[in-house]
Amino acid sequence: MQPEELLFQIGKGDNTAFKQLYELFKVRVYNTCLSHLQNESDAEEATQDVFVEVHRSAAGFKSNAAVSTWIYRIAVNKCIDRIRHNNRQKRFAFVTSIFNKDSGELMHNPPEFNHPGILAENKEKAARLFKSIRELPENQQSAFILKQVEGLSQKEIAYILDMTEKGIESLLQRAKANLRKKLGDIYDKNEGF
Amino acid sequence: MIEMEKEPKDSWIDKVMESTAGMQKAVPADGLFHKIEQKLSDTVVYARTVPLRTVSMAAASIILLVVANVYILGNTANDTNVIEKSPVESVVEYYGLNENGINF
Repeated sequence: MQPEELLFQIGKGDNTAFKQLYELFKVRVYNTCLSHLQNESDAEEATQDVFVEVHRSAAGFKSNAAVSTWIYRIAVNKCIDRIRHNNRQKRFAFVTSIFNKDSGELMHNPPEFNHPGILAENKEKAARLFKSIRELPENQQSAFILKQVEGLSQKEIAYILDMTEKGIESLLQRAKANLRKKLGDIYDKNEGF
Repeated sequence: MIEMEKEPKDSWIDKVMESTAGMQKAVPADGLFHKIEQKLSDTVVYARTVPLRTVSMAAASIILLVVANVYILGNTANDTNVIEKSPVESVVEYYGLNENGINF
C-alpha cells in the first residue's frame, strides 16, 4: 500500500495501516530526531510524539506534498519544540545553580554525542561536528541536518522548513560558513590536531 | 624526539565536515511502537475526559456567577429604600451650615 493510502486508512481508524506506516518511516524519523537532539532517549521520546501527531492528523493530510516530507516536517517541528524546552530547562538549571551552590551537578554542557551509525574512524570528528551543529541557529541546524545527514533535496527541505528553494540555498551556505568558522576556532584553540 | 606533523587547518575542517559520510542509520528500540500505541490510548482517554471536566467547571462558574449576581442585586434593591442625600446636603449637614432651615 502507498503511504497516501496508509494515511487514508489510518484516518479511518485502521491500526494495521498505522503499524505499516511506522515501519516505513521509523528509521528516517528516529535519525532526524537523533541528529537534532543528539540524545537517544530524547530522540525516542520525540519519535513517539511524531507518530502520535501523524496518527492524529492523518485524516487531515492534504496531498500537496509527499507523505515523507510531511512526516519530516512534523519531526523537525517536534525536535525544535523539544530543543527549546531543553534550553529553557538548562537556563533554569543555570540560574538555580547561581543561587544554590548545593543544587547538584550543573548540566550546562551536555555530554559529547556519539551517533551510533558513524564509522569508527570518524567518531571523534563527527562528535566535534555535532557539537558545532548544536551551536547553530535552529533553522540552520535543521537545514544542514536534512541535507548533509538525511540527504534530502533542497526542494524537500524547502517544504519541510516552509521556505523557498533559494532561501534554503542561502541558509545552507550560512550554516556551512558558520560551521567552518566554529571548527576553525576549535582548531586554533587546540593548536592543531 | 619526533614531532608529529600537524594537520593543516582547512584539511582538518573539510574532514570534520564530511565525517558523517557513509554513516549507518540508527534503528529505534523494538518496543517503541508499543510505547506510541500506549501514548495514543492515553491521549484518547485524555481527550474524552478533559472536555467533560472543563464543561463541569464552566457550569459551576456560571452557577456561581448567577448566585453572586442575584445576591448583589437583592442587596442593592434593599439599599434603594434609603433616601440618598446630594453631595451639597451632605456638606451642609457635616459643617452645620443649615441653621436657618433652608431646603436644598
